[in-house]
Amino acid sequence: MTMSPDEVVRNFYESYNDRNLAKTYEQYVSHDLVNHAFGGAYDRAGWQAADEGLLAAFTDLHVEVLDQIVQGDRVATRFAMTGTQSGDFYGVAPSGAKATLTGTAFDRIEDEKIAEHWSDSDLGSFMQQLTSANS
Amino acid sequence: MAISTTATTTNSTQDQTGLEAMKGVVLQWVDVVNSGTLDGIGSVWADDCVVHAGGGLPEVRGVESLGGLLTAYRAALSHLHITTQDLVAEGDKVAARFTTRGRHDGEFLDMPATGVPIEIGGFGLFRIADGRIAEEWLLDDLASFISQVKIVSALAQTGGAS
Repeated sequence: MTMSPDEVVRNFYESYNDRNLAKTYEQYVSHDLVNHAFGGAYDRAGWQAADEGLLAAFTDLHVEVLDQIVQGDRVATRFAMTGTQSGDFYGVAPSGAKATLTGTAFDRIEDEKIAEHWSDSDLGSFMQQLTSANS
Repeated sequence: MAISTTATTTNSTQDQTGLEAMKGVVLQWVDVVNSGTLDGIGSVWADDCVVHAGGGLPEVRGVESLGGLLTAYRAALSHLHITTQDLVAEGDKVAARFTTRGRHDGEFLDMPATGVPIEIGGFGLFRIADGRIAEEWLLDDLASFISQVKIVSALAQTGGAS
């Protein structure tokens, strides 16, 4: 059974809730991925590693797809990641704060995998939620 | 499957003309931003529009407040110019991926003017109703703005790269 582009992207994000990113990336992210997010700073392995860090710092992290707009092979997704900070995260000591990171992604799908990725997250607000809990 | 008249119509059955018209509304808004004026803002945005700006900024409600925000942006980033990189449309929504350019000539995000040319990526998700934009979820890469300003400021303080 084939997956439509929006199903691929929705399943990709929602599978974060299974906390097995090796499986998630193998299933949904092309090995030829071109990642434009953060100015192209993260290749496929770097992207997975960064999100492993997020899962490690937020052991109850829950990812929710808020909205999707699809046309052809391109999918725009608005998502929210909510969790309680129980580990170090980018220099912020475990705060016990419950915080939500919202973001928007554009993904281009090829052969039921993410082949190209653009994304922006509201990291400023997210870090603010963590640091204000520590102060 | 019968052609649905609701906004949940799937992509394959949705009227392409309607989708292109919705994209056209978003492109008109880009033209307003790039015009350096507020001309036409009222024909692009619904009077009671809502913009969820992200970045911890308060929601913007109403076309007048939106005009005020645009004016403030232009004061902070002169020569404000948006280039649309991609547009996708489905149902009653349009998603845009764009690049914003400007020069940091006024205080922005608590950072005093540096005169640095800025280029940041951003995304806008627009809900269209009755041919106008009723709601937008906006996310600019503000972290990238801050790092661009900081890098150039640091270079200036150390006498540049020379």
